[in-house]
Amino acid sequence: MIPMTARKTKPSEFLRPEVVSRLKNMELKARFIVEGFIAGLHRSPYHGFSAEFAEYRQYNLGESARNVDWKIYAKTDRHYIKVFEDETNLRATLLLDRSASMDYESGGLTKLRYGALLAAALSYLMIKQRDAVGLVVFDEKIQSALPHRSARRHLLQLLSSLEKVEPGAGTSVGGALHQMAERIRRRGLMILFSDLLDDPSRVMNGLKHFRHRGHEVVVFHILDPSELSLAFSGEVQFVDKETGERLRTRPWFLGQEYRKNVKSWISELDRTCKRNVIDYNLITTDTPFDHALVSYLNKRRTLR
Amino acid sequence: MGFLNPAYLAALAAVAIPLLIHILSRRRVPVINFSSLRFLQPSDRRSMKRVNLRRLFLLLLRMIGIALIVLAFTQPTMKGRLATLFPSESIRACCILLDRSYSMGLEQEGGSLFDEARRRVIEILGEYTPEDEVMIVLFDSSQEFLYRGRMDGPLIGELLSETVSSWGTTDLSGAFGAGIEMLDQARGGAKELYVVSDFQRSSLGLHRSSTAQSASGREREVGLSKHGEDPKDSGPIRIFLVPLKAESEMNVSIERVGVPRTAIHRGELASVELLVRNSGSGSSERFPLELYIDGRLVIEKEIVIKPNGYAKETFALPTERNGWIFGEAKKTPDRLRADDRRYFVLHVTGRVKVLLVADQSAFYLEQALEPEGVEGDIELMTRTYSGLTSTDLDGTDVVVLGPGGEPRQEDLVLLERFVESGGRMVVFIVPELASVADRLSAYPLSMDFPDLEEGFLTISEPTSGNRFLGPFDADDIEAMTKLRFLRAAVVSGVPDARGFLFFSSGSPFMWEERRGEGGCLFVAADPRPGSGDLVLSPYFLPLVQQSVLEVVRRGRSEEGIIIGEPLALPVAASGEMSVGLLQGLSAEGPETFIMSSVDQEEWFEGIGSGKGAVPVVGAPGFVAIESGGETLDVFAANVAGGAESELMPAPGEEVADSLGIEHWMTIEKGRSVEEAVRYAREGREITFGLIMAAALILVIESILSQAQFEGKSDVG
Repeated sequence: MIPMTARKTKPSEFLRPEVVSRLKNMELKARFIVEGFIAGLHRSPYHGFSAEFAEYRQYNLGESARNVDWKIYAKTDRHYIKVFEDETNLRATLLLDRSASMDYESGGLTKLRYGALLAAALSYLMIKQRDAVGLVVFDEKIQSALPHRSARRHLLQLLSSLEKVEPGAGTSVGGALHQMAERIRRRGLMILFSDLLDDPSRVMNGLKHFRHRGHEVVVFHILDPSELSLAFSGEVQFVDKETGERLRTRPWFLGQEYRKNVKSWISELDRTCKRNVIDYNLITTDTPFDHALVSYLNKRRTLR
Repeated sequence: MGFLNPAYLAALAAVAIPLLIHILSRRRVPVINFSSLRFLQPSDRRSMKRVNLRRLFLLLLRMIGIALIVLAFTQPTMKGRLATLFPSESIRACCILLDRSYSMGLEQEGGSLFDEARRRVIEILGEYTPEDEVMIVLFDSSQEFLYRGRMDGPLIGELLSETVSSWGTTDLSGAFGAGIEMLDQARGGAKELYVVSDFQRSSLGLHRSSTAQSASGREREVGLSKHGEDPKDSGPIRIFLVPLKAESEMNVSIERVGVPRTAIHRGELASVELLVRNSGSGSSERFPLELYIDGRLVIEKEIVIKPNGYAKETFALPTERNGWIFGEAKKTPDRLRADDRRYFVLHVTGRVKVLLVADQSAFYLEQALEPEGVEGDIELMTRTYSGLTSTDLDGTDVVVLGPGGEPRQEDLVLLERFVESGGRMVVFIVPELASVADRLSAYPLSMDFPDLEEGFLTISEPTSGNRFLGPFDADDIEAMTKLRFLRAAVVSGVPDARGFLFFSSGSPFMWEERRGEGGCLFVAADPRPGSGDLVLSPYFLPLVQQSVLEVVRRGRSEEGIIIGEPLALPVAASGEMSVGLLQGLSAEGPETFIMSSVDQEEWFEGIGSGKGAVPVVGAPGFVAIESGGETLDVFAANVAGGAESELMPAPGEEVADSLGIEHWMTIEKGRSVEEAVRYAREGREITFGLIMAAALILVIESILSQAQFEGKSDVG
């Protein structure tokens, strides 16, 4: 249930990860994200991907004349626009990385949890728009996969799977992407939720493999804020979640070089993705979900 | 290197604090399960080495910084070439305490110890420049400035040559306290205190009170270096003990002369007791002991005293004249001459002439004054009140007013003049003499004569030291307190302090008052039969005789005057006595010198009831107290026996302990003062240098730490 104070608060405020994470189940979370997101959109420009008629609406000056119902105009001498529900058969595949490195958080949600929530929200949104959504959870290899469906009850399966997803062992994003590219033959939209902590060239090769297969690719590069800043006090001992390697150091002393390395890595990923027409979105686990949803919808619109 | 405040060295443990923090912080490293170390790896090894090195360097700097701060608190000093890098002392203040007590008069080859002490002082002064402040204090039981001012060698030398050893004993602690106090007030950068003395062991404990008083303050003031005999580093006040050791500890001294306390009558043999001591440990001493009376040898006796032994000799001296007889005991002079002679005084009186004014009822009183058939100390003449003439008072020492009437008015005036001119009077307060007693007394008397047939009075237990009860022992006094008085005067208005005896009711039984040059003794008892038990008791005669004799006897102490100590005299504190002049007779004979003129206020200054004091006597001999041309009393003045005569020097540790000092330097006989003093001064205090070094290190530490944090979001 939305708190009473919601009426006085901007809807986007409820899309903050720490708020969403307090909700009970995944469906509620997903709905909360999406409804909250939509409620925050004034004069939604995204209302109309469906081919199925939804309603008439008076034409406003400046709007595209493409959807004007000329028959009504002929009868009433007024401009009305037909609003449709989309029935395009978009096949979206949610690729969720559950590698050990995704199980890291510095105070909020783990990257895996954040990715799962985001995937759930997109599932909700897409199934509501009758898109077929499939889910692949992987670490070093594909761990589970749900086929593409657009039915309402499929949403429940998706959400259930996302709720149950647990962090896995090591990581091999590149290898897993190649594996998935081989298996998913029908073209569609690939939405990857991963920290991409693998050999960048292997990761990019995997993504390029999708592009080679004709898929549209959206990458949500999920990182914890501390992974960008390395903001730790005093002397600490780092333990690599994937390799178990230990390192005792003073992060503040290494921070500058670390941030430089991370920045270079992200820049390289972004540049390569752009070169390969891959939609790259760097997102941290403290970022409100609407940012990610906007990125998706922007991409979705280009797919019409 | 030495430390002026070594107690702070314990704080060096604080150096471990940064180390502990370092170790503890290493143990408590939080573990972070990080997503991946891939971006840490490349730079880690190189950077961490740098970090660790820098951390160790910072740790070292912090430890050194703390160590330097702690060391600065200890006020370290340094010698050698490095020490010259630090500023040296500029102007110095020096205080030399020169012992002039009589033991310093010990003769040796090349002069007395005091002569040697003066040479040591001159030697010490050679270490000072004209800019330095110099104080020279002569001390025995008191202190006296010889010189204070800028160093002036010729002048000080001249002053020193005029000084001689005194007859006093040593108050080392008092002099030391005074020296420290003077140096505290001095403005010199470096302060040095020298004690030039023979450091008699026996004198260390003589003035314990002054030692105890000054010790606590001194510990704070005097903080020097360490280890007893080692050369000492510079400090707030450097202390040098300069002992002058006697070549021989052999000494024989006359410790005490005892003379009779009671009045001696002319023609009697006066018993004089001498105590002689051989404080040497070598051999027995044989020497003649001589006694002189009025400058004439009357007795000579050879005596032998074992080592560390005493000899007590008693001599019977003839008394051929009345008055004060000046005596002197001498022995063969040895190296220490001050204690080889001792003076004494004998007071010889003839029979006391007493005029009893009373009627027949005073029969018992008359018998008590001059018992029939016995020639006592009193030569009695009796008169009735109606038969009294002015010529009766001529040659009379004491007038006793008894019962049986009262003086006529003109006789009363004569009696008052008699007393004012030095005569003595004893007044028995009976009803018919009540008005006379009231007139003669300086106090507003209120007298009552109750009928005590039913409830008698008794005398209360007297306080000790009552000179009127001299002949009585404790049993006598106890028996006297049981005597019943059926007729007595109950008097009020007399201060308690004036009374010698009291009735159990609290009213005075007997009190004395000064009047002019003379005085009156009032007795509130009726000397007639039927007045109570006293008259018929065996105590009546001695009490009356003692009362009469005592009023003409001047009080004096058995030992006379000890040089250096104020003399307390039993005098009337009624405020009526006027003392004119104090005169002393020199030891050498009849030459009289004026010691001090003392007025009434000065006489009574700072004294309790019944006590007086005269100024401190500075030389052995005779001291006469005169008033209006009449000699009131004469005392023999002698050096204090015992303490100074032992010639047992105390080692430096013992002296330092008695003075409450922890750090000092001893310049032994034969050691050059110049060498010792310069060695002690070599140390340079490097506190300032340490503070600067600590500040520099902390600045470097701060810069390095800041450099590490610069531009970092995390401040570690």
